[in-house]
Amino acid sequence: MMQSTLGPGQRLRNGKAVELEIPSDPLAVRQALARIMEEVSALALAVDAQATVEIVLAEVLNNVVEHACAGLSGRRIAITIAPTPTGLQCQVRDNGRPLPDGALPAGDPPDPACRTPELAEGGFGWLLIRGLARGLRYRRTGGMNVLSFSLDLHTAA
Amino acid sequence: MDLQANTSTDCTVITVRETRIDAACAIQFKDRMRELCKEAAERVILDLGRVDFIDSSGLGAIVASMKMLAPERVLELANPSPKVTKVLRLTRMDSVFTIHEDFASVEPLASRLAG
Repeated sequence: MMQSTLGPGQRLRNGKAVELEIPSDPLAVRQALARIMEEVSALALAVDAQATVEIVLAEVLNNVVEHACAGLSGRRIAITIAPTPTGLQCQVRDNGRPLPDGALPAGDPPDPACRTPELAEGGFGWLLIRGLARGLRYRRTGGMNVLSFSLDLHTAA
Repeated sequence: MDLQANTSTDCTVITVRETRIDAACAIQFKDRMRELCKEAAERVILDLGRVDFIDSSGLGAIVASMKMLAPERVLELANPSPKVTKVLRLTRMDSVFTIHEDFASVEPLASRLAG
């Protein structure tokens, strides 16, 4: 579908990065994801690759809202998504608390064999991020958390 | 959170009339499920046909709903979208829930219940 004006997807399709800054809030995350998926849609990715983008970004952003910035007011999240030959390079920055121990959580899979009452209701986030993102890197700099990763979207996930 | 339940003697179909179960509505989803589960039959099928996307909070709320029903009653999932299927597969919850991929497998039941 051709667009004559600079509509959604034009930036990524033209090799330019998409940058967003949002408040640390679940509804703002939902809106940001909608905006990002609109941008990404013009890349004509397979449904599975679209799912990869939305799942990883949702989990990364939700982690910032629910952990790094939980209970803190006026915190912001900056998102940069740039096209690469094989997919997308993403960076998420926030001015919340640093990750515990300054390191990325492991994201161990829950044990599906365990009985229903013990089945975990959380901990799925890092499992999804680790399963789908490549080259995860975390650093704390100038009072900011900086998480970067790439998404390989042209090969089967 | 728009969830609608249709119950027959042995089965309740809960239709999620939303496009997302995510961090922004996971608590509302869980609260509404808790209400509906009070009246639910032994077998509960969550129809996700209209849901495009769930995140880990949404998945956690679905798992919590399953735990509310256990051990006497079971929660099954129906009509997951490709994105929902991917989340279920990557978190291995596809081996925890009975999943009805085919809309037709639940639709006749739902319409029979509604009729």
